[in-house]
Amino acid sequence: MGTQTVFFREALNQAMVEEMERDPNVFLIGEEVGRYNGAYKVSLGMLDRFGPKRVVDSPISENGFTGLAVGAAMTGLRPIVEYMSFNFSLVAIDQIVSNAAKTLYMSGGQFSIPMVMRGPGGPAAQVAAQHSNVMDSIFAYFPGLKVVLPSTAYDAKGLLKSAIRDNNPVVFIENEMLYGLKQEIPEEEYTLPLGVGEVQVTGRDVTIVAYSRMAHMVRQMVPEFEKEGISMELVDPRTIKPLDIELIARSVAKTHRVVIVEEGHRFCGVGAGIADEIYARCFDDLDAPIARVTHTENPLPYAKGIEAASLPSPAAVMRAAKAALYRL
Amino acid sequence: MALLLTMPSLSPTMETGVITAWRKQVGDRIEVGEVLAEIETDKAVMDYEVVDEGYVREFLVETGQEIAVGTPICILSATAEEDIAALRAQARSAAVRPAATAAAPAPQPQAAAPAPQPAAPDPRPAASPALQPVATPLAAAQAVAAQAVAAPMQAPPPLAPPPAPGSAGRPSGNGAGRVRISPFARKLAEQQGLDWQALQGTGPAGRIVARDVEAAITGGAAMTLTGPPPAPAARPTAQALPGFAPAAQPAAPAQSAAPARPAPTAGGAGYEDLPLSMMRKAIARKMAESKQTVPHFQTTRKVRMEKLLELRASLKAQFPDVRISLNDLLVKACAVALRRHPVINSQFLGDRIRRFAGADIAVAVNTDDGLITPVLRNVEAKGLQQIAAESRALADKARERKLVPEDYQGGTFTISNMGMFGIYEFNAIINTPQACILAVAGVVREPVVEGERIVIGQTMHLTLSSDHRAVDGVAAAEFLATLCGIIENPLSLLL
Repeated sequence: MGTQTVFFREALNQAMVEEMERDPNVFLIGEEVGRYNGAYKVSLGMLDRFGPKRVVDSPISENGFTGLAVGAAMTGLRPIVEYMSFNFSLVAIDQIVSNAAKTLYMSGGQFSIPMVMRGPGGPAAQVAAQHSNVMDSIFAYFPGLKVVLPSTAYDAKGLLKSAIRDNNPVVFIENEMLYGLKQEIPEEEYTLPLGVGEVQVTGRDVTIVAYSRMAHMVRQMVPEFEKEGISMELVDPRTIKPLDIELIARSVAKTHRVVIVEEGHRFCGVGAGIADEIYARCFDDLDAPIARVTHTENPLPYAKGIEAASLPSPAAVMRAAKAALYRL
Repeated sequence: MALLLTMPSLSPTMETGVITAWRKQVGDRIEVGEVLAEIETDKAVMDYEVVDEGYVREFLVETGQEIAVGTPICILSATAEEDIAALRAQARSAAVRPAATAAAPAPQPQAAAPAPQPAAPDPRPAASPALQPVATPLAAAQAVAAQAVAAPMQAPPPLAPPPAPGSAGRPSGNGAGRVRISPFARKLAEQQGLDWQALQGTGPAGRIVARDVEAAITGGAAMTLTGPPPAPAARPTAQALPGFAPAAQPAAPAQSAAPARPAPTAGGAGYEDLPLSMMRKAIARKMAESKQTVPHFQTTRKVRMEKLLELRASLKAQFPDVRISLNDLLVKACAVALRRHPVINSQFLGDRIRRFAGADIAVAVNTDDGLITPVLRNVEAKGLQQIAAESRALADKARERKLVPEDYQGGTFTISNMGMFGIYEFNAIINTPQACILAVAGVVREPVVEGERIVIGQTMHLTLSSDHRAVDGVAAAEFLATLCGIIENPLSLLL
């Protein structure tokens, strides 16, 4: 088994390339995915490899090309839609919610929509309020969509391949801040199932549920937790819909304390839904109310200091973990 | 000028109290010396007379709720219309740390520190130091966001801080008898057969959390085995049983409790959990403390009772209105014996022993709620008639729960008489800080050796429990010898 060291963005590129080699029905469409090789170079080299019929540069028209992809999927193709930023998917929200998510149901099971909508999402560095939306919970809210948010290059590749092969519309949100992460991954082909989470750090005192960049942030906190004498267990669900609640519940049954970390807002956030599932399954296992660390209730400011103050920080995670352990 | 009334300390040992009834209503005028409420302390139900006049504006706690001394209970104002918003806010902030302010008499370092901002988990990173220099723009951004959508957007309110370690009162804001416990701590306690109602929580607002249960299991403190854990299907809890009054009312005897729901468990005994009355809590705390910290030893003597019984019979015949009981005679006999043996009439106070000149004799009285020990003062200076009258009055007050602290505080020696229950001999637990307690058993007819003959005699066992830190065995024996001498020759009472 050989290994290779790749950037997160390269892992995504490999996933798309492998799947397009494997299945001629798969194609990529989006703004600047072809000749510019992608705004974030995720589609680097793909136009040269697959030609303009399978790597399609679209006009600036998210509503148009998302609708096009839904139609293509209905006819049996497997489109990958790249949003230059997930903030722009809002322009196409009706296609995503009313068409992609509902067609299988409304056609009585006749038309499945095997498409992937992917691209960078979440707050980046000082891109201001309109380009820093966290929309995980919006997509996770609607039945009919799967929602995937990987936190490592290894997960990103394996999950994107599964997303492309899945017969349902999959929203695949890549955190822009993770694109530059390097990781050793297998050279051989592999896939990871959607809806299966992973215990990334094993511990016994407190379960931290985090995904995407937040899982990455919490992984970096392992030495800090060791210094505090707290044995932390990090569960990354990787897919927030369907959610691997069984994995989370097993961890909670062991630790009895939970902190949920997300970059999105508190009210109606993904963590609210996860907390509800935990309360329903694990009430008698909890020794403390579930603690949540979230984006503050404000549009994300441009200014660096208050941008940082608005987002979950390692200090806030540690504070929440101590609160859950009654150690504040 | 409005003012905040707090839970008063109505006895030196009172740490928490329960308002059993308000005697005034909101809007009523109250004058100095009028009764605002009836408060159940660890010893009795007492009238709370106010020392301020004004209009009753708002009750801050509910009846039946156990609250720490010092917790705001009521707002009074000089005029009926006065604005009390500020006081209400003050009461609310005071209410989050009732246990800390009502902490044990010896102030602890933690309790002495000025109350900080509630050290609650603020889920928003906004509280991080990085925010400080730029607080205004962020606050503005949040304010703008909040204009569109109001209430649910706020972060959850901070939790009350945990009570200071070692403080006694447990605030129970959710109503009477409610003990806060985390779901997992509760499961853990029930798996271990531990009575968690008796535990002291260290979580926010006194919540019992897993570590408290674990400490109780490993430390054995406050541990009560309630039998094997019941099957999950039928697990009766205090809350689940109908008809259980909160702690404010005397716990009903088990057999007359609401349709008992015995847990039909395979191999396990059914049980029910009864809430503790204030008195039961006080007895539990005091008895455990005495038995665990005082080195008890017992000395027993059998005493002939014929002459004392004769004396009582002739008193009864000649003064039928006086009604002197055998116990009254024993009280008097003890007072005389104590005067001759002051070492028995003492208290061990850690760095010194206090000996009392007068005999203030506490007499254990059984009530529906439990045992209480009203005190007969200066018995050595009182005649039998006065002793009998006072003793009867105190016992009646005790049974009606009308004792005031002056009735039961202090005391230099205690008598516990179980003669009327057919007890042959028993040991009593010392009523601290007193050094000795006398356990009086029943009078029995039995064979006794008299010279070279066996005759039928009337005898009684007296067992003196003594605190060995203050009293040695010989002193106890000498006291008992004197006491028995008086009982066997009661004319010496006249000396």
